[in-house]
Amino acid sequence: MGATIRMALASPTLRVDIVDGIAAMDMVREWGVSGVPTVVIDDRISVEGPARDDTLLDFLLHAGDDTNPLPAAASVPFSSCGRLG
Amino acid sequence: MELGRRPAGPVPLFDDIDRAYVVAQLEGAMEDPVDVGVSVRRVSRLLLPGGAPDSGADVAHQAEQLGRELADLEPRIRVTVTDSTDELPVFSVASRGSGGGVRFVGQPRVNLFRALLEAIRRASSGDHGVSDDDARRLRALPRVVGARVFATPT
Repeated sequence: MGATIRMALASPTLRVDIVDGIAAMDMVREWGVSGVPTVVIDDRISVEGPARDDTLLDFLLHAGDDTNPLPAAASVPFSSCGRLG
Repeated sequence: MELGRRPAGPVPLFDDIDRAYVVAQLEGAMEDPVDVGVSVRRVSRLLLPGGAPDSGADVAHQAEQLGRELADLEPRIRVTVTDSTDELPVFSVASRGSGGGVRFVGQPRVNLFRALLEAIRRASSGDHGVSDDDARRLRALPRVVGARVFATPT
């Protein structure tokens, strides 16, 4: 959570919502979140569990520009988002 | 204070320990003013005969009060309360320097409140904590990326 907040404060190209998963049960169900932390990027990639800051950054950079490579898939569990999957 | 008599005005959310914690987190770390938006669904707290209680009224009231008590403790926090149709309150923190910002969905508690204070502190000081190279790569993105971080207060 901390890394994502820092990245959001560094750039207007990143819109970050920190969602209280207990208060926002409707959103938890809508996006198929099964644990925390979970980061849902552009409603299409879900990064589940703790991820390294640089891995998260790579996912965000890839989401914003397809020419940026995805991080190695083995480094962190991720899936297509439950909402769209 | 006379026993059995409450002070005038609303009951504060922060007790002395909370206030001391907030001051300790922000003291000496604030530079520029920070805009904190509190977006709430305002509902009347008046319960009329035949009406059903709406817990959203208390949620909205507490969120608004949290924002105002924060602003009372640190004059560089500028709180704006706006009406919303969303069920949950949303707190937004904007960085004037970078143009970035972050939103908290639901009233921030415990760890999420700590994160809110960190966001305020960083937005005020301009120290976002990201390396220059990573910040440059993020700012160079051709399109906006949205991220929802699901977390719990504890």
